[in-house]
Amino acid sequence: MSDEKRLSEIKVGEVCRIAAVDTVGRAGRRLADLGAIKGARISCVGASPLGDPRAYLLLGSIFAIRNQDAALIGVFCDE
Amino acid sequence: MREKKRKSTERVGISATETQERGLPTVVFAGNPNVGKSSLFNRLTGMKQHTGNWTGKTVAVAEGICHTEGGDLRLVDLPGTYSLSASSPEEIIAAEYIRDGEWELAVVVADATAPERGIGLFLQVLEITPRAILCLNLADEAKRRGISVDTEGLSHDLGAPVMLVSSRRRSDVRRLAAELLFYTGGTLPRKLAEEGKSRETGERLEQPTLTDTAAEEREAINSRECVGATISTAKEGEECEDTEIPKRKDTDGSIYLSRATSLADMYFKGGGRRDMKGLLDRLLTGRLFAFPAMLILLALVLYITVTLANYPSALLALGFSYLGERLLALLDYLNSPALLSSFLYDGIYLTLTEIVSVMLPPMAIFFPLFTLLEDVGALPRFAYVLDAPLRRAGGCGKQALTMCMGLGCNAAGIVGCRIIDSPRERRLAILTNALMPCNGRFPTIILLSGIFLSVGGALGGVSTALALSLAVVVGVLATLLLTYILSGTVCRGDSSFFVMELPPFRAPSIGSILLRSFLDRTLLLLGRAVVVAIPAGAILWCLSTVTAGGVSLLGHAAGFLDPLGRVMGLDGVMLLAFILGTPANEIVLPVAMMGYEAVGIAPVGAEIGEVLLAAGWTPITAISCILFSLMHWPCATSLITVYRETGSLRDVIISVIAPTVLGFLTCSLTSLLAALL
Repeated sequence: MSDEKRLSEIKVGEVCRIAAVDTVGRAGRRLADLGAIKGARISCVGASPLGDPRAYLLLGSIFAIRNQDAALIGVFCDE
Repeated sequence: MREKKRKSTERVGISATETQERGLPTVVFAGNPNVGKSSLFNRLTGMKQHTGNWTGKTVAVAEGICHTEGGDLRLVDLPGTYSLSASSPEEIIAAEYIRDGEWELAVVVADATAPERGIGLFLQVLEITPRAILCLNLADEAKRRGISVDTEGLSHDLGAPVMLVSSRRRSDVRRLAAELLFYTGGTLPRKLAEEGKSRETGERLEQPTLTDTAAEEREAINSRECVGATISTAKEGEECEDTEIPKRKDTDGSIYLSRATSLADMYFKGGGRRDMKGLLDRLLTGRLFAFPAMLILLALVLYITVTLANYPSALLALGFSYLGERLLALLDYLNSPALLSSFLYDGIYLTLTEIVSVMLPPMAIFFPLFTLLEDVGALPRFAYVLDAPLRRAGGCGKQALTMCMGLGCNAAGIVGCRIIDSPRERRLAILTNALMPCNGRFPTIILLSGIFLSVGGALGGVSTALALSLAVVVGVLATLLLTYILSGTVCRGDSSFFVMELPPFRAPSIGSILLRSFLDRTLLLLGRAVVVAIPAGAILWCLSTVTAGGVSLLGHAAGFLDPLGRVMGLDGVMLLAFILGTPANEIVLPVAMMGYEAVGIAPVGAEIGEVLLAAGWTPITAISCILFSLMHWPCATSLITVYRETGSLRDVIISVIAPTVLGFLTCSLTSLLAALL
């Protein structure tokens, strides 16, 4: 079992499973509505030229998420 | 059972229309953003509604009538929502309408290639009503990617009808319309009635057979008394109590998403995983290519706009000049007094035709091109790439899109700022939009760079496009600067939450979209041109005809403004031309011509180049003029639009002062530097 990482820390191309989402704030709730729920598979499929935001594949769609918001999502990446 | 409150439709802002009074059954369309819901809606209703391939475009509720063989239906298109428990204004409106509105059937549109969220939303809707069907759109995309869907199995599992359609296939759309008619209990299509067919699925709609898990979840939800009221009551600050069911750690949405994911795994097979490794994605978003690619795309769009616009412009000019002669002949025939003839012809007619022949062709080409980029999916990539610099300036990625719209017409760009959720960032985008040169300013920039900066000539169109692109880049930099300044002063606050879906590239439906966009725009602009041109022309005529001490008012005003103009590297005539060009930027140069004639610099009818040279213009003057054209107060239509969108006179004033001060300083600095070198 690997350690829990922040989504903003995973490498491009890494596929992970969501461990938890900080839904206290509005950002976390919006992410959860998009499908960022515990157990969902999420991967980083690219980064914008300046590194932020990055593109993530979640539930069949690709979303641009800023690093500060991606940090709200904890993931396990031992696949 | 929840009562349907009639008054909430008014609260939501949807008033009872004529159709409702006529008693047509209402079908409401819901679904995630970017699944082609609005496209489908348009095909069903044949309505002129703007859609685009990026999230959040439909920010208003649209209505239309769907005509079928067996009867008519009233269709309502809600804004795209990811979940009914979501928190943005459009999503609140959509949720309220579904919960409290008056409708007979709900259609949830989902993306057949990525159905999980759509099915999750559908499950949420099913908790509220059994009168819902799931419509899986983009069937053609699914087929192309090798995805197969077991609609029968899914329908059985959900306990509700499921349809697989492609909004591009007319037969699919017709089939959907017939189904809608059937489920709303409208008049049965005559064919079916004659053949006496009955449908099992019709019965199922009334008594959905739920699986155990679904029934359990419905219990859990219904026991939370105020789940349905979460959004509205939370807004009004009421209390929301949970009953004995333990509060789940995840939000409402996750229960449905978990089930939706398992349903998707079971009934959708095939298809690969999406990525951003395709050529277009690497070009538009890759570290090396993104910015150059966007610049090239910009230059290309400008090139096409400018080059293609020349022909209709010339034709219009010809047509108007012919009409003008007829008008003069008519006035002559009617023995109209010379002054009146001059007022009507020189004042109103010439101004109006000038504006229309200059304004119309470029915009009629630019906006369809813009729509094409939207349709294809390029625009979200721009926002994605530009979010970082815009954020550093205090804005957000979506501002890039409003800036693009502003290139066509600033008023359109300002209205487009509605796509920005955060009020602070929306305000920033509105207040800075005028720094993007609209189509109306292109002729000024093109003419001046042609005369003084040797643009044009041999390479013609290409160098013109490049010069324009350079001007646009200056506009972008100015926008970033002003955004930065404003976000430190009048628009202070933190960065808001920003998430943007990057949809797959899709082939644009060229025909109908372009035609609709073209017609919409041209009619709108013609209307605006007339409204603006008549008073503008009248004022100009008065100023140039009324004389005092042998010099027209125009000449006096120009003289008065001259010292200020000189500081900026221009002169009084030019500054006056900008001021009088407030109704429409298109007339700035023509007014300048009138001004130079009024102060006696050049004979009537001389070419622009001769007049400007005679007035003492140098390349530096031209540069200053182009810079000021980029950075000055918004046009009259934009000012009205700013007021409408912000409701604040203070914001209108800021939108006038901010760009103007920036322009004044930039021009003064430029001419100062030029003088020193």
